[in-house]
Amino acid sequence: MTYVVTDNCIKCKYMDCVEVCPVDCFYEGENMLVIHPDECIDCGVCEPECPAEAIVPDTGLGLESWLELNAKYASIWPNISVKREPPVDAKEFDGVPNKLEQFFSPKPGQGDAMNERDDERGRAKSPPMNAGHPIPGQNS
Amino acid sequence: MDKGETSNDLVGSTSEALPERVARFVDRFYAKLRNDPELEYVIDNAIAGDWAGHLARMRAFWTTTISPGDSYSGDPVDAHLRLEGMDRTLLARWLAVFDDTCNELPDEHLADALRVRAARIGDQIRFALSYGGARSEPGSAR
Repeated sequence: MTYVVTDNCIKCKYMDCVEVCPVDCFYEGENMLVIHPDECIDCGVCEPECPAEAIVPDTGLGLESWLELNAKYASIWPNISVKREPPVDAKEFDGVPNKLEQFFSPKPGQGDAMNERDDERGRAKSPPMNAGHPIPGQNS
Repeated sequence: MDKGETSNDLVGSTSEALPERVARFVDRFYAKLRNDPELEYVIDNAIAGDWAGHLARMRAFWTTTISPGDSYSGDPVDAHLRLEGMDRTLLARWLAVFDDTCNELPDEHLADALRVRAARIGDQIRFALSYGGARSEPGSAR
C-alpha cells in the first residue's frame, strides 16, 4: 500500500503535506504534487494535513490510474520537502471536478531547487518499482 | 550510551505522551541492537560515538511517522544501505530485533503502527538491495 495524491491537488498545491512527511517522498509538478509510491512508508501523517483532501490510501476503488500517475511523475519531477506559498487562486480551484482532464500539467515544478537541499534531493532518486504503465488521459 | 540499558523495559509507558513512548521504544530498540552479537559491530561502527545525536534523530523520525508535528525528515533506506555488510540476512535480523522490541510494547496500537512502517521501509531496502544498492551517493544526507 501507499498513499497517492489525487485530482483535487491540481491547481491547489497547498504543500502542507511536504512539511510533515518523514521520508521526503513528495515530488512537485507545475501545478500538483505526487507521492513516490516506493518511498512512502504508509505512515499517513500527510493525509489529514491536506486542505484539499487530495491524499488518500491507494486501497480505495478506482485509484489505479492515480497510483500510476504518482509513480510516473515521481520519477520525473523534482523532490520537494519545504513548503512555499500555494497558488494565489488555489481556493478558487478547490473542489472543481475533473481537474486532471482540464488543467493537469506534466511540466516539473521547481522543487527544493531554490534552497539549500538542492544538491541532495532536487531530483528523483530511483526508478519506481511499478513505473512504465500508461497513464489514462495522457499520451504516454 | 551505556549498552546496559537493555534492562530498560517498556511496560507501564502507556500513560506517557506519544513522543515519550516512542523515545523509550527507540532507546530500547537501539540498546537491543547493540547487544546483538551480529548487529553490535555494524551499528557501533556506523554511529561512531554520536549516540546522543543519533538517538535524538531516531526519536524524532519515529515520532514523526506516527504523528505530524516534529521536524524530522530523511531517507531511512539510504541510511540502512550505507551500513557495512547490509544484505538480506542482516536486514532480516535487524527487522527481527525491531519486531521483538515492538512485542514488548504494552500499547498494541502503537506497536502495530511501528511494525507497518518498519515493514514498508524493510521492503524498500530489500528492493534497493536487489536493484543494485544505494539510491544516492554514500555520505550524502537527506
